[in-house]
Order: sequence, then structure tokens, then C-alpha cells
Amino acid sequence: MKKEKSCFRIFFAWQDEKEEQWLNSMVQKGWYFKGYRRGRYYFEQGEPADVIYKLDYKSTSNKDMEEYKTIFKEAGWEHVDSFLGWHVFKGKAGERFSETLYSDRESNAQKYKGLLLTTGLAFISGLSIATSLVFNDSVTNSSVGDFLKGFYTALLVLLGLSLTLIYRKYRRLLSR
Amino acid sequence: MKKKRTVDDHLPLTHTTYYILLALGSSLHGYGIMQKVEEMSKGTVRLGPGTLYGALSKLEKDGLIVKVDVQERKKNYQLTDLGNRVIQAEYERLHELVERSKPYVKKLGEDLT
Repeated sequence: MKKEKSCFRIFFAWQDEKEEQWLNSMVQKGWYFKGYRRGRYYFEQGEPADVIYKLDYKSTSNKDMEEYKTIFKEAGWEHVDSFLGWHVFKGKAGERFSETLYSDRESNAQKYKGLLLTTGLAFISGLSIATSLVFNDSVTNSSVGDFLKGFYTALLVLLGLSLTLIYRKYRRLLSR
Repeated sequence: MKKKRTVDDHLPLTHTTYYILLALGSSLHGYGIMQKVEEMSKGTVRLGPGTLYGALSKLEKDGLIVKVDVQERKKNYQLTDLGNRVIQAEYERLHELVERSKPYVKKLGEDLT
């Protein structure tokens, strides 16, 4: 029976590279990433090896998921898990064709553009729910209303922050 | 309604896109494309799978390549006539640029030595 463990960690969309580094530091200690469920990262113990993890964000429709996974697999990157459009891939030394998932700046920027569009859409949906229902006193009664107002304010601030930081990342990639 | 795009609307191509289109002169799948591009570029372009996937879906959407059946459940990609025209146009554009600028670039280069 292999040893397993899990830990709680919040993943911020604009810190995807930091997240990769963290997964890589875990595998160097012999903890292989297995999956992500409700804010928890699951790991399984194994021999430390030259393995790296990379994150991809897929904003296109999931109809071609098999094709997507096949292209990565053929390039030596094994699909481990996905959550909210993010996909974690594992590449072993000697098996991976490339050291990165994106080999040019333009396509890497394109990935963040997709992420920006999804986040922007979530922000607009949140904003329209907030203005039409939550902050409309004739619809929401006061006791539930206060909770919802707090929740939606926090949500919109977080989404707004994500948009700003992802946009900065995207601009940096385009202009470098 | 899709707006009709001319060949020139697809230009310029990125380095990566140019090589991918060029590789699809014969029908290939993921890893085959990566190897062919590496070979054609004399080892200077090693495609990442994210870059390849993104390029293939965009090129297919733009009608520059199509999926073709090889076996059941296995599909290759192949250049379309439009894709071929785009490569020709891009080659001409780059070639002209190099040819026209050559004497000026050479002259400027002399200042450097």
C-alpha cells in the first residue's frame, strides 16, 4: 500500500508558475501529485525522480478532450488531473519531447488570453447578478441580503484582482 | 455568418505556425508534426504540446488545415488549398523582404566592423 497525503492550498490563477514550482518541489521529496479536489491537493509517495509538472489552461470547448490529451501524451506529457479548465501534466526525463508546454511567446500569451476571457465572463455574470438582485433592496431581504452582499463584494474584488494580474502577465508576454 | 477572409488576412504567420503548416504537406498527427518541424528547422524549433494544440485548433478553425481519417478513432491533419496558398504568400512576402532589404542591410553591416 502506497502512502498518501493531502493538503489544503488555495490556487490563484495568476500564480500558475508558482504552483508548478511547488508541485516540482513536492515530487523531489517523493510526493507525486495525484489530483485536486475541493481545495485539497492529493499526493502519493514514490521514488524521487526527474519528473516535472506543468499546468495548462484550456479555454476551448471540451468536445476535443481526447485529442487534446493525445497530443500531450505523444509529446511525453501525461495528463494527471484537471479542475476548472486547468490541466496538470507530468513529464518524465527522457520521455518529454520539450521542457515546456509552450515553445513560443505568442502561444503562451494566447493561453492567458483564454483565461482572461473566462475570468472576464465570470466577472460580468457576477456583476449583473449583484446589481440586479443582491444590491437591489426590493428583491433581497435584509438578513440574507447582508450575507450575500458581503459574499458578492468579496467575489467581485477577487475576480477583479485576477483580471488585473492576468492581464499584466499577458501584456508582459506580448511585449517582451 | 463567417466573413470571407483573403489569403493576406492570415499573414504574417508566426515562426511556429509557418513550420506547422509546412509540415502538413503530408498528413500527420501530433508527434509526427513535432518531429517533422524539428527536422525541417534543423533542430531549432522543438514544439511544446500546448503550442501545437493551440495552433492546430486555430488553423483548423481558419480552414488552413483539415482533419482526415486514418483509422477508426485516429485522425491526422492535412494542409488545405487555402493553407497552401497562405504558405506560398508568406514565403513570397519573406523572400521579397529579404531580397529588397539585402543591399541596405549589407551596407549597414559594414559600419559594424
